[in-house]
Amino acid sequence: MKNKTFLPMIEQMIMILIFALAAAFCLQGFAAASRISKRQAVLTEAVGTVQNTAEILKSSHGDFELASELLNGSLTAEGIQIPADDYVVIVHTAAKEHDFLSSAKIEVMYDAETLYELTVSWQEVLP
Amino acid sequence: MKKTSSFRPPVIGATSLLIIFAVLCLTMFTLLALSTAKADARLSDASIQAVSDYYEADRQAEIIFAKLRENPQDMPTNVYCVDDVYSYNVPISDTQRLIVELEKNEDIWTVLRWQAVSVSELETNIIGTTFNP
Repeated sequence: MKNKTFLPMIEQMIMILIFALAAAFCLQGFAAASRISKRQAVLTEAVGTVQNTAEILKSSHGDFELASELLNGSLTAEGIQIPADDYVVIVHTAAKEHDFLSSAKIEVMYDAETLYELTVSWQEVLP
Repeated sequence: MKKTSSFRPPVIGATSLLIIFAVLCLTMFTLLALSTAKADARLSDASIQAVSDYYEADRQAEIIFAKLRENPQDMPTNVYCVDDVYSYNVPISDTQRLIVELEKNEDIWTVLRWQAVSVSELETNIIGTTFNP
């Protein structure tokens, strides 16, 4: 009688152990998939904002005040900061490359790291 | 009276089967979730690369434009000028090019065309212009 209950109990214990191990590995897999999806969703949205920013900078010929107003950002010493839910887009102050050409670097910060960056150039309008 | 003895074997195996099924399901769902996330990431990366490539080509085109504004006589090698209309193209990728056409009227420059065109479309247009008078 003792043997009859002992064997199934051992089996159940081993199976619970196996299930716990498999569940632990699988949970890590789910977490990794969720992390990848979240990062890509943020990146895709951020690139849309970067494109928008780049086009506004080009059309305004580098007018940072107008661009920050249009993008609902704030003008700082560094450039323009455009906050979003999960990331921040920073437009670094424009550098004059040429008499007729200026450029600015647009950077997306996510979790204190640079997620994406783009350099945009535009023609300077002479007075 | 004959005494009947009933023998009931221990229930072994049912739990194992259930757990094996559960573990298989978990593994399958995890692999599916991971592969879907990675496929989405690849697609998203490709579209982001296309944006980066376009803005790099756009930047190159702006540099050429700035050089032309500075000195229209000193044309870069890939720029053609016909009747004060300057045209050039910058590759965006293997399949796309950025076509630029600028008109100079005294000191005023007008952008006539600043368009991303597929290479096949461009080739068709060139062949069309060459062979159809």
